[in-house]
Amino acid sequence: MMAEAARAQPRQQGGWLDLPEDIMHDILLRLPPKFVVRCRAVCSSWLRLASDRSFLLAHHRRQPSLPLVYFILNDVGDPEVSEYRLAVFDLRAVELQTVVRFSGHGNGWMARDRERRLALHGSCDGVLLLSSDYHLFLCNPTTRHWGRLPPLHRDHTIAGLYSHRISDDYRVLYFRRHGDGNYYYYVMAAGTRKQRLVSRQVSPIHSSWHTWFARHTPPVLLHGNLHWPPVSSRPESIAVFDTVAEVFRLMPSPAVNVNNQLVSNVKLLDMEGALAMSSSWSETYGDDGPSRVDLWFLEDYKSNVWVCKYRIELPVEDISRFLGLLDLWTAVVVSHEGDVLVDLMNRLLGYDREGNSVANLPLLEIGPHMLKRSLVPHASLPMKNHSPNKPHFV
Amino acid sequence: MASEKKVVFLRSSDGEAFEVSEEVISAASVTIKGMIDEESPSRADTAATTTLAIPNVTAATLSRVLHYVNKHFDAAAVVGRPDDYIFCAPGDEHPLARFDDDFVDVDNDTLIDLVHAAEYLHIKKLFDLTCKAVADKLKGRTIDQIRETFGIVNDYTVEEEVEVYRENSWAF
Repeated sequence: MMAEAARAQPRQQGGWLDLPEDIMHDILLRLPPKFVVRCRAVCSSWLRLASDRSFLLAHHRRQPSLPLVYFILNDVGDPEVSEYRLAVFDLRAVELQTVVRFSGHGNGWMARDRERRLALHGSCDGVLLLSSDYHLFLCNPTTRHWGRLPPLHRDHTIAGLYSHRISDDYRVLYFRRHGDGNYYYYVMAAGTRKQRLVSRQVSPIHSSWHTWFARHTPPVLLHGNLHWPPVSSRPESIAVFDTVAEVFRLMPSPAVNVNNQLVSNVKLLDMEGALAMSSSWSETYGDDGPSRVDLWFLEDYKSNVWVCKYRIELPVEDISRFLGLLDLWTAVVVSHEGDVLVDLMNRLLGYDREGNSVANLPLLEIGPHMLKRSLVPHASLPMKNHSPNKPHFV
Repeated sequence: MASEKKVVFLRSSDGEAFEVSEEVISAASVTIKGMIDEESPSRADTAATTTLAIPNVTAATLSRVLHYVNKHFDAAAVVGRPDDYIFCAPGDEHPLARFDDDFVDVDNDTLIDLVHAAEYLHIKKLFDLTCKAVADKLKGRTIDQIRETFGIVNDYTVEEEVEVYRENSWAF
């Protein structure tokens, strides 16, 4: 039998003083970003630990990848003013964390006005690519660090933001339709601010022709490649941009129906380093929304083996209770565990993979991007939240 | 090998011996498994039980650690696959979540002793659990409270402290 030995041991010292740095490192790793930064103020050794680049990279890797949602607050004290917010939604904690906010006159602004004042074009390694009145910014909403990029021409459509493995720089891939009818793809490096033509295609390879659509189907960066979800004209393949060789290619997608008339029913995700695809499915055409959503995993990246991990039946009756006249819903898997977000345009419902309700939030709209928070500083974001001439959303 | 009944004794820094199943402690602690593997050629043909000295861990802490180990690593006591949260019914908590919560609901000194013991004995799950518990204790506190509670000396000059707050002002 194990001896019961709970007798108190006298202590000479408070044990915290003798915590070696490697243990402190492991403790700080488990704190949310904001508290890591607070701990820098405790003493100089904690500042050193919590500012170390390899620590910050390890901390970033541990952060969950959370969906970004939009909402407008009409009740901010002044009836003339409403506040627009971009937040990450943690379905498990049922918690919204605001990442960017700004206010303006008039309530329920038109999406077009709102997007002119602030539009989100990409999210990569905790950094967002945002535009405001055609000015482009990189912004890390966690550290409030930001940097400017050269403005983008009105005819240009952003296809993706990525970090370039070799140069450790952020790059923007965008395209434009030229007079010859072809689509020209360019890359702009944040560090050098130089733009280069990388590819010419007869049709947009990464998306259907619609520019609005291109904006709402951002790519997933994995293994140095950008991946776009399949489109209805080419459901059998995923468009890939190799960010090192700077060439496009196609890879096979799982065998699913693709329908992207209004909002695509397929979405690619990075799930702990594996490429995954959420694909929703309707019983009959003309339903108010999908009745099922599947989560596919690319088990072997090199040999293109897709496996369906979850087939999730949606609680259609429950969803319908919140459905207004003429409303539609979309559904997407957002976590490794098979949590599903159902977007009813003006309400967001969260379910676990058994159809149990875990969240119900009004006035939220899910965006196409995810955010994985980071405290890692970057040369392309040299400005801080107390720097002069900061944009209105920092 | 009739390994299912094999036990080892662990002797704490203050001289108390604890009995534990060899199989269970080997599954839990990389450090003790290493010690046992080193010992095994010499004891293969003897009936004598082994006593291992654990010089860095007191009896009070070792007793707690073994309580955790028996709960988490004894295959007979654990239902299902404890490491795999995916196998739990949805909505259910991990079956040992309550036990874990209670286990780390202790005073700071006890908790830190457990962190040290988990690190020394190389019990990854216990190290994760206790580090997370310390992190949770830090989360709710102001800088002054952290220093006071945990006896950390503020070694900043006034200028340095102002600069640290300015650089990180958004987090306060």
